[in-house]
Amino acid sequence: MLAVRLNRARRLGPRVVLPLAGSVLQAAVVAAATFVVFLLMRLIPGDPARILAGPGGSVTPEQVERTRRELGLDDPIALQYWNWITDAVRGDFGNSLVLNDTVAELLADRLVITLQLSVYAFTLAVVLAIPLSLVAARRQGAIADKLSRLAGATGVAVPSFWLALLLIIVAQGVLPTFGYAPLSEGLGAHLGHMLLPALALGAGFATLVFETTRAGLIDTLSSDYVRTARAFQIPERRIYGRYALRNAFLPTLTIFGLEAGALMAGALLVENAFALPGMGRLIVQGVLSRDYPVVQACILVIVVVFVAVNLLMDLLYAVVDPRVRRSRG
Amino acid sequence: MTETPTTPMTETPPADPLLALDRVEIGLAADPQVRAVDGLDLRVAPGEAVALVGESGSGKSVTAYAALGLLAPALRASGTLRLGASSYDLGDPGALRPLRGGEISMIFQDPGTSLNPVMTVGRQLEDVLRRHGGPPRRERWRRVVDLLAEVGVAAPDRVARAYPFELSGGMRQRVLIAMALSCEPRLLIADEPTTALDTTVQAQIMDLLMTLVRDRGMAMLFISHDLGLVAGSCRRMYVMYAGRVVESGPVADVLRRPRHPYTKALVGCRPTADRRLARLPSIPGTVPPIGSMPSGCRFAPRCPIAVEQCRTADPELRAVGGNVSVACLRASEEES
Ligand SMILES: Nc1ncnc2c1ncn2[C@@H]1O[C@H](COP(=O)(O)OP(=O)(O)OP(=O)(O)O)[C@@H](O)[C@H]1O
Ligand SMILES: [Mg+2]
Repeated sequence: MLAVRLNRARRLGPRVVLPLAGSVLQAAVVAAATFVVFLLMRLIPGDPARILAGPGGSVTPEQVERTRRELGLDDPIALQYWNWITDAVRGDFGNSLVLNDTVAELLADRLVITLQLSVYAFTLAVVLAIPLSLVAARRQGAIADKLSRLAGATGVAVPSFWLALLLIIVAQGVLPTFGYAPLSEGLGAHLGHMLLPALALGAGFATLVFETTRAGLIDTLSSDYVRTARAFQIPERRIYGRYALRNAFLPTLTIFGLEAGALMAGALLVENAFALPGMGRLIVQGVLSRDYPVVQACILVIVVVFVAVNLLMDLLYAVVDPRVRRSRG
Repeated sequence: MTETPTTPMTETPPADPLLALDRVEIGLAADPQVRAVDGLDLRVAPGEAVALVGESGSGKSVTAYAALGLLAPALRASGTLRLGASSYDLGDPGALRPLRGGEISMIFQDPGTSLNPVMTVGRQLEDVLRRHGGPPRRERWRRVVDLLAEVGVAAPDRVARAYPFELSGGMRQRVLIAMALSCEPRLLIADEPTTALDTTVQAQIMDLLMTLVRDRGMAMLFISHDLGLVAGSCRRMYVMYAGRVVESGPVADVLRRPRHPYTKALVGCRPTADRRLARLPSIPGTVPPIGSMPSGCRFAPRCPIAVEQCRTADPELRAVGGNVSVACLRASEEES
């Protein structure tokens, strides 16, 4: 994987080599995080070999031992991890211990739903929060500002899980609050089913984006360069966009990266509340039935997504901020 | 727009000024009684270079901002601004907007922070040109490069494509000067244009400004700490202390024979040419912060010749002959 990345980096030229070199570090993050999960799964009480070998007292210790050997569970833990991760990199996550399917197969559909939910929540949050922060920063202390800050404070205070329950109660009968509609059933049905979950998941994130961008805007709007622009009658619209927001956006990008993990984690909870068949349920089921190949694969995917989002933010950072871009170039 | 003023550089306050600021007061929006500037009058004739000097915190910058309606929201101005035949209320910043750039351009104190860090300086110049009747789009970049060349940028093509952080302080200041010139203003307000720069660059920028003022017949309000620079560039000057003008008159006269004890102190610690300092050093004490102005003469607490009366009576600015005005009870007594 590394070699591929470095090759790609060479093709892309020096501007992106540094963030990609940073991704070597991020690969290490992936390895460390998944290894910890690997260990943790072994610490959960309940022996998967015993469970698989058969119910209750009817199994002999010999049968359990045989199952253990078949699963490779008697290898040293480091070797087990090595076998698992090298297979995983090739897209082979093994078989579910419980369900009659490969983990990759199980994961594929679920991951799509979780990713959709996260992306919608993210989009909704940004689409709501950025314009609101512009309004709020423009008229500090005005009613619009106070109202949106109040809403912001509540958004942070209410966990997405509670918000999900609240939305389910409030929107009962108005919008779908249960289950999933794939895109093949039409965009309307699909988005209809996703709206409330996305709202529940995105609210907390939206308030963070709002607060960060608003604070950034207040800073940049009183900056010397905005004063310069005003001293030359640059239209306010352009000042807000190209001068104030563009600069205020840098800390917001950092928030995007930092919160990507929280958003994915929240998605797992929200899925359960809205009975969306995403990775959330898969993980819960996996943990309960000690189906650790499933759990490990889920965690690996989440960590990889988290790392990928952060990499993307690094690249975006370079797009927005020439100081980053040119010092690398 | 580019009228060539026939008015010679005068040493008297102009009877027919280009710019007149009358009864300027700048106070906190929250508490207008707390004032950063308190009753300032100032005139600039067409083509004239006038200096506004004073220590840090005396209110020079806020005066300039008020003239363009660019005060921070925390501050509010009152008074009038006359420009040619038109008159404007300083309390209405929006009304002053049309003056910005085309009539009055300003160069700011800190070139390091006065340009947008995420846009190339060329694009920022283009923004200004688009707003002020510059050439059509396709020729605009050409004009940007020409403007940079006009302010002495050696590689204007490269500089236009640079971001501010890639340029030196002096280069950024040239960019800001080019921006101001692109609007062909009648008045240039230069707020300590060289304070943030080192000495050799300082001299280059001053040369550039003086050349431009001379060649274009542009009037200039030159804000500075540095009496050496003022002596070399301006004919008349206003000395400001704690929000008031304490002395005004022809630069040569004021510097040769300062009458206000504050001006004396400034002149006394004026750095010599070979040892020029960025900040005025050695008057004991500091400008009182706004909101805790002493009663009577504001300089009295730091004044070496203050008498009891100075702490109760607020001295008016009055003419003392030779076109010099002074706000000091003891000024005439000092004369002999
Ligand atoms: N936004 C603001 N809010 C409150 N007070 C302010 C604000 N801006 C300036 N002041 C106050 O107004 C007074 C004059 O400040 P100003 O910046 O005009 O001084 P200056 O003469 O330009 O000083 P310097 O030489 O340091 O530039 C100072 O006491 C300052 O603290
Ligand atoms: Mg200043």
